[in-house]
Amino acid sequence: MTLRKKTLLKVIILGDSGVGKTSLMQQFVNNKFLHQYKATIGADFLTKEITVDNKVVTLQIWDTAGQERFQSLGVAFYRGADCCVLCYDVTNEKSLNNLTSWKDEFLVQSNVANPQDFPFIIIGNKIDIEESRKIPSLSKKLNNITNQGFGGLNYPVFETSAKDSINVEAAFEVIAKMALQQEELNEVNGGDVSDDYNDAINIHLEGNGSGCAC
Amino acid sequence: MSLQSSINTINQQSGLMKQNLNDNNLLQALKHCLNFLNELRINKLSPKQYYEIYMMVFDSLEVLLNHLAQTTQKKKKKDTPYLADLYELVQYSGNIIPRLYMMIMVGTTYMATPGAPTKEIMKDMIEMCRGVQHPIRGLFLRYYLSQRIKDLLPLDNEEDFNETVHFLVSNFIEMTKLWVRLQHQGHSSERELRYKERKELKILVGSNLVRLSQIIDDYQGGESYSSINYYAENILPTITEQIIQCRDHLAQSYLIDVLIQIFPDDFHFATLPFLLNDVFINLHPLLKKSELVATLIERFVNYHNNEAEMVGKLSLENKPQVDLFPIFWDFYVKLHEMDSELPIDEHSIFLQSFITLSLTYYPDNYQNLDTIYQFATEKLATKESGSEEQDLWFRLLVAPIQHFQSIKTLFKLPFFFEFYHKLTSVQYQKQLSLEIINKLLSDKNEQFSTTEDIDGIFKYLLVLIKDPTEKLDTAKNLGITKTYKVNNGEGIVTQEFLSNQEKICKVIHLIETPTDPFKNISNLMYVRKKYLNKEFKNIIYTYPALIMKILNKLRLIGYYVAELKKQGKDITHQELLITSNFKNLSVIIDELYHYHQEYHSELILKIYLNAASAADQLSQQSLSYELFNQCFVVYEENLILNPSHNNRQINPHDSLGEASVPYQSILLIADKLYTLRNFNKENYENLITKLTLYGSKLLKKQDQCRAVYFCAHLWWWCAYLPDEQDNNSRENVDDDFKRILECLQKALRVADSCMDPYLSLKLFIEILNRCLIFNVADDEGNTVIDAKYINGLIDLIRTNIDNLNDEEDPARAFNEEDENNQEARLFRFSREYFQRTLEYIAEEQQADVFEGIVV
Repeated sequence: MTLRKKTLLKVIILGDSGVGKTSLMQQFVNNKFLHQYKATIGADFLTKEITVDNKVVTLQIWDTAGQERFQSLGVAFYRGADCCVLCYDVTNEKSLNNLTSWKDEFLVQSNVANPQDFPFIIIGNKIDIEESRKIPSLSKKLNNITNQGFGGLNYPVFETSAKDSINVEAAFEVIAKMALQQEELNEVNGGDVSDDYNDAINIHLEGNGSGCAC
Repeated sequence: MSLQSSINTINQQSGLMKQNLNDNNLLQALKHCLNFLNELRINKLSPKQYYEIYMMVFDSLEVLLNHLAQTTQKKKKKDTPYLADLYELVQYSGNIIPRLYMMIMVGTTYMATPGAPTKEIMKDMIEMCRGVQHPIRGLFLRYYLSQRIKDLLPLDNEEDFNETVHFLVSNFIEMTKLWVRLQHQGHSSERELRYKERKELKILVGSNLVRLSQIIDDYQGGESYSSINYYAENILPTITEQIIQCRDHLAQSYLIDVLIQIFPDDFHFATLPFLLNDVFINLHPLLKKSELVATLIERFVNYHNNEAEMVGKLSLENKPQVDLFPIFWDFYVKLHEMDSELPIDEHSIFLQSFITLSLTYYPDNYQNLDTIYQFATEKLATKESGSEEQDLWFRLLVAPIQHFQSIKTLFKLPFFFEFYHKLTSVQYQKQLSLEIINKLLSDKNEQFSTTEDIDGIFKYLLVLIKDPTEKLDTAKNLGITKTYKVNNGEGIVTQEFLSNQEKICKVIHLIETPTDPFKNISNLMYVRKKYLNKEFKNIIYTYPALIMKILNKLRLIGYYVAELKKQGKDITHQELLITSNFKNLSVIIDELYHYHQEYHSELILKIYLNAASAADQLSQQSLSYELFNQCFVVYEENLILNPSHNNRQINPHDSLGEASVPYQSILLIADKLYTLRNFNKENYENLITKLTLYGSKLLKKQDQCRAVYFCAHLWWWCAYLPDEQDNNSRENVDDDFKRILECLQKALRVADSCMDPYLSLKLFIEILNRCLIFNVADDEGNTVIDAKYINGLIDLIRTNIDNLNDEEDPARAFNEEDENNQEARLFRFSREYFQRTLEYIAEEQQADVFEGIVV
């Protein structure tokens, strides 16, 4: 009997420090919200199984440090991502303006096969905060950014509140669908990843003493 | 072996592994797994590169692990010890790195199955990890362990919790050791490289603290359990002991930073004294504790600000009631005692943070701020300070200014000023004063009503008043600073200087005592005596504002006193005060005149005139008289022949603008004299006689003529003023009317003597217009200038026009259209002017005015 392979989808959450990346993930995975701010150190993931299109998938959601000083080892974990979530804070214009650079950084570092149509999704968090503190004429600015920085492609945009659990579930459902599509696309295109390296015959396979003997 | 070949190998082997798994050939898959795990034994990669292959390995292991988990579920019923066997089996592989990764992978999968001996596996794994003492490999291995195990840690009861904590803490300790040890490996020439590598590896070590913080959040505990206490008693001391003992600069600064970032604020509130006095004090002597303190304070400040936002939305049940400032301050003082050589920039960061803390948590407590400035003054700013120190001092001083509700907060900080004095650099002093003045002017309702207030603020402005800038360095300022020429081009000031002086003037206007104008004036005098006259060179920019302000107040007093007088009250005292204030004011104007007569006498003349007219309005006749005399002095000394105005464009045909300075001055004075209401005839006559005389002695004919016919008006008014005996008789009036005629006669004579016939004609017509004004009859039908006189004048003008027409004739044919012909144009204007005048007379005659004039 063969086991049906369970699909693992890798999702990366990016965005400026303090926009609520960890909170979004915690709200989605554990239905928890912490009022106190904790910086994220390095990168860490949580997994959650959900059903998308009648298919059970495991989402491996990577939460990242927005502050560069807590990301000293680089971003090797971008590799193999199936979807990238770009977060901003609806009360912080700078975080909105930085979306493009986060996207570019992701594409450069992740080395994805199809940078043109890699699935991104934009989340504006903290909509629970009173109207007056929000970025003025937000939708216009957001439009500008998606038109200029994202080549006018229509990326899904969600406005959420991790605190009050508004729209979080819905956003991640879309994320999962998009990630699944990307994963299936990779299967079709690349098939087995190692095909790319078939010609690289490893002659050092056994006993080449490069590592220490421990 | 390069990174790329490792990547290739891993890709290849992991591909083979996946194929085997699809074929359900587990043993073969494990073999390929071991093969790619072997790549993690590689030596020559930088931490970042190693992390790259680690991530690839991690992803591949996830695939295997998922397979194992799924097969276990299927097999569950029949073959329970499947994973236990596998756990044993993988330990037979030859190399320790692949073996331990395998073991952790299988072990954690095993832990996830129900009924597994979780704690034994945990103990086993953490013990086995000791086998790897190579720093980079060891760190990644333990990182893998902590990453895999994080969701499996037992937290069901206190014992579980303790063991979990123990597990994480010991992993933390081991990782710290490996990390610190890396520094001492290899040749000493590679120290920099090692340091760089360690900086990259730091997040691996920090991740342990993240886990600790997470399980504290997750553990629900019993009734008596308090997470804060547990942290304070069990976790913090162990961790910090380790941090202190490692004696490593990088480790200490990073781990403390993480500790501050990763644990909740209320934990820090509760453990603050311990953290400062038992941990920070014992850290590496060269470590910048100021930065750690700054991070901590930043957290507290953010917490406070968020808290303020949440008020009303969230219950503040355990809002920490910790008095932060004294704890920080005691620590700081202790640190200073221990290490008096603490670098100045560290002090600066400390104090900067304390200022922010105090402003956030104690907005109404100025004692804290003053303590900070006292310390800075007494302990820090004692030695000679270079530009670097000056910069730091400046930043300390400037920090709170924008936060103050009102600039008057400064008055409560005596040491702020002391410390301000330690700024020896004028540039910084000025900059700070500007900050203060800008803040002050941004407040709409600020007023200074006492001398204490004035001292409080003006002591900071003195540097702007004096403006001891050294000579402008033209080369340096070329094109950078906009400059203006002043004093007829003999001096240069910058735009910045002018805008500063303007700001001082604005502050002068804020000196207000609404209820007591006399007090207000004395405050204004005080400012002048104590501050404004410190640099005579600059008073020309500030005195006018001061004088106008005083005059304004005096006028208000005038209304007030007049009101009292109406009510029949005794106003002798007020009158005396007014007199003395005017005398003081005149001293101020005199001072201004004394220093700035050379270039600013026109301005000063206007100021004298304003004062004189105000004095008249307040029925201070003798003062007003003296002030007018002062105007004549200015006129005689500086305006009659003012060489500085030679460059002015003068058009003799224009009777209003573009005239010479002396003529303009005469008009200015005449204008004010004309508005006088409280003079007796004698004084008034003295003044206007003098002025008419000046007018008749002007240099140019046209100026003489016009000045005199303007002065004629003054005599008309004079006729109606009461004289000493209050004797307003007919004869006197006739006398004065005779003077008017004399003036107009004189003007005519001067006009006639003009060499330029066109100018002469123009002046005649101007005089005709004046005469028309004096033709208006009084009640008894008398007119100053009768119709006969006017008819004569009209004839005279006609004759002149005819004469000029005759002269013009031959040339006219050519010049009629030529606008460039100056004379023809002027002649045409004059004829038109005359024509309009006649039309006017004719028009008015319809209304029975100007009887007897023949048009």
